Amino acid sequence: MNPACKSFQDQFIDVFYNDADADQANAFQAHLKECPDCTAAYEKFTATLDIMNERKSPEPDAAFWDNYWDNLAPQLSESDISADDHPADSPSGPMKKLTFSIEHQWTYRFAAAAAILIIGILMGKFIFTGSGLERSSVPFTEAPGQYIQRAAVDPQTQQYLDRSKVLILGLVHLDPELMDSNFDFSRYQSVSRELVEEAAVIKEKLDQSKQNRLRALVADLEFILVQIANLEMENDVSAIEMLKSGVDRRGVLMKINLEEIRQQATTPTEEVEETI
Amino acid sequence: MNEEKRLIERAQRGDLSAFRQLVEQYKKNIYYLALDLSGNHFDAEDISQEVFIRAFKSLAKFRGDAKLNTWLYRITVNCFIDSKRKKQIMTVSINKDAEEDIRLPESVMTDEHSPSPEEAAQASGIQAHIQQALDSLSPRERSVFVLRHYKDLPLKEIGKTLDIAEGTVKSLLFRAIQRMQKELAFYRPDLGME
Repeated sequence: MNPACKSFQDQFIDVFYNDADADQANAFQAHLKECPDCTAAYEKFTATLDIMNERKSPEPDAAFWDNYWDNLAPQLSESDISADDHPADSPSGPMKKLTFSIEHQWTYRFAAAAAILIIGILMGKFIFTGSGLERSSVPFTEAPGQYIQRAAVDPQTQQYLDRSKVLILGLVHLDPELMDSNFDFSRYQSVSRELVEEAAVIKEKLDQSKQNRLRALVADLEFILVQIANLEMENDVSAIEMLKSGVDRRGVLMKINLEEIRQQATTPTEEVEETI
Repeated sequence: MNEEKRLIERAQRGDLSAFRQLVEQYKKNIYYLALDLSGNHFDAEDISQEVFIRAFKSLAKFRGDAKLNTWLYRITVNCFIDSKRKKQIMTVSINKDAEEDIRLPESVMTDEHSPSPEEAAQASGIQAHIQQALDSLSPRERSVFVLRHYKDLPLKEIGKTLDIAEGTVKSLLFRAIQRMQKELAFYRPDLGME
């Protein structure tokens, strides 16, 4: 095919859908008059689209449209409310159910927030610092180095935790509605693979330093990261949702956050002041 | 448009009557797009309802940078692609008899006119071949073709809807038409094309 023909054949779409400007269209028509190959190719092109124009879409009947909202509304409220609060067959049933769920969402959210706050306080008090009494018994005169030695996380582990956190946060905040079909999940996967490889070394280090809680956290992260790295169905929303729920179930983000809090809590005052 | 903006704002604040008005306004557009993409009533109904469920859940994130129509079209295409993937995962054959696939159940069909048996056979034949040609496309090619050819969306608008470059849209469209041309090649002698 000569280069001029290639250029004109690239314009088939513009010409057919009237996206070509007048000059372009005139040049195109002039070329067709003197080029039988392009004329034949354009005829095939338009004939294909003419056949596609024959397509008939079946028209649903009026009842389908009339009942459209009534069929949709219960699905909107399905996850928020049990089915027997309002009769679903009454004309206003779905609307009442939806209103009920919206009104109560704030109550549930508030209760959940309060519960999380209380759990956080209790965990901070009794798990990470032992009992309140034990903590207060640590003398202020204790050398800062002793705190650091007890709670120190080596830079490699810290970097591992930071990178994992950023990656998992990115995953958790992926919005299926806003994900376009071009979305590149392979970047998540390549970083996950790197982190999985690094995890073996870090776990060994933590074994040696007997930092069991950190080791368990790294193992949890490794589990999630292996799943991300091995995800075969790229961009598959259900698979990504499954991963998200895995993150949620294992509470890895919360564990990382608590680990950070623990680090800050056990860091000597002088150092904290410096960083502030 | 202002009225629509007001409805969106009300819906974002949890006003379901406003959301319902938006659904009423867009349900046909979305259903027919889903029908063009999926090729059958049942999938189109599922996809269109899923679109509104997803829209309802993430309406708060809709900032109004794009038109609501464009946003809903994007969700529709994503729902369609997801549904195709789910079907592939379930290893359900997607090469079902297109003639059966496109037919609506009696209860939802509009009985506008009764074609003769010959007309019906010819019509169902060409409809099946058209469906087959569409089924030969990848979900992205099909989405681009449907949006341009059946929904008459300019390439630029399709690019915005699918969040891809206009040049990519054009290549996908060209490839889609070429693929359908091959699928429908046996029609050429009838059409005097060869």
